[in-house]
Amino acid sequence: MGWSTSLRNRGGRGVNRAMNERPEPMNDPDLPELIVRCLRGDQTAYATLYERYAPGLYRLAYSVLLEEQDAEDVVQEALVYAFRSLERYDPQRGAFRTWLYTITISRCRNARRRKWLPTVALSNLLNIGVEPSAPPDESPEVRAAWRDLRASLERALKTLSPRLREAVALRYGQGLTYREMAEIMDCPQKTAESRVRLAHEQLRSAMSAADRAALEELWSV
Amino acid sequence: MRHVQHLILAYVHGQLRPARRARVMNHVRVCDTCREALAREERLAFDVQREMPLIGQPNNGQLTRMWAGVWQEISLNPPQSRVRRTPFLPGLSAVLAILLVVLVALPLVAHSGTRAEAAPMRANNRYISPTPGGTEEVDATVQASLVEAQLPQATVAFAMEAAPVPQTPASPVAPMTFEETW
Repeated sequence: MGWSTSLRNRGGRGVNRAMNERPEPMNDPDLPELIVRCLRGDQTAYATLYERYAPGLYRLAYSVLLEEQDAEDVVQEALVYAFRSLERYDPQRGAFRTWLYTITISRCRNARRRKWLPTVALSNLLNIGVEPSAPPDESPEVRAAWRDLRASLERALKTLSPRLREAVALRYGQGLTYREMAEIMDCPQKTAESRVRLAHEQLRSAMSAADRAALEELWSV
Repeated sequence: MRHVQHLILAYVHGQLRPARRARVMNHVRVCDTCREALAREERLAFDVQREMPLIGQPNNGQLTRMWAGVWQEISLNPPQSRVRRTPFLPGLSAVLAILLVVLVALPLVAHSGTRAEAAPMRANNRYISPTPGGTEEVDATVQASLVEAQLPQATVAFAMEAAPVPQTPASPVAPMTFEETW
């Protein structure tokens, strides 16, 4: 069974199923110990937390802001705040990751307020990130088609409002549940759900007819 | 046959309750239109799900740069100093509060009682008592006490004035009642 066949089967069974079947948010059994060590000033513990969470926080910030330097600033600000406020983190109120995402989204909103975001060059989007991992039997044509599709999706993503981009980034970029999204975006769960649906509709509208045709062709391979 | 196109996006994004999800699944088995619409939306959602995590992957240079900034801030102002203070904070507050009461509030209360006794109240007490026939006695006593206390003369004059007598009632009805009674 080829890669495209595998994709068709996965797509045909429903994305909701794939999302619902994904593993629970990462558990950190050593998190309490790490926090205690951080509070004692242990640099290794800080570095461990940083390595564990900073990449995800950066992806989130970048997906929302679509600007490298802003995303770096936001992540740095958010982590400094979080590390200084570690004693205030209450595990009973939510996962550590959710707490960090809440801080990061809040900082992203502040950054947006401070600065009118300019139109982002497509090259910015294309130069960032790693190549999608693909099965070894992927042909160069299929790989090129996926790259085009990705560029098309990124162009469409750029047209979303910040709130809708937050919703897409949290749901599909970070794989959060709607409840977690609602907590982070500070809105009811139904609002989080409707933002995802609205983002989906706008992404579809934003994609050109040619993009959609390419998408259909890719899926029919 | 009722179409389910209005439920498709919610289905695709896992937002439907089991009963409605079953309704969609049963319907798309027999309806080509809705099945095609569902497949189209699922493909788009799958692509978004596949591509989003790949957007904004930080490279090593960015991660190193951010860590340097974070650690610089943290090492300049480490949070552990606040934590070390925290366990002693409630006890320290209680001790300070008790000290405040002992050193400030209690002497104030004690001192205010002494001052009340030391105040030249005799003249005023006599003056306030409204005895019509006791004016001479009051005046003499006031004079004596004022001399002892060496108060300013203006205060003496004020203290020796007769108390003002209320004239007419405030209500306009009152005089009419008075005349009718007499």
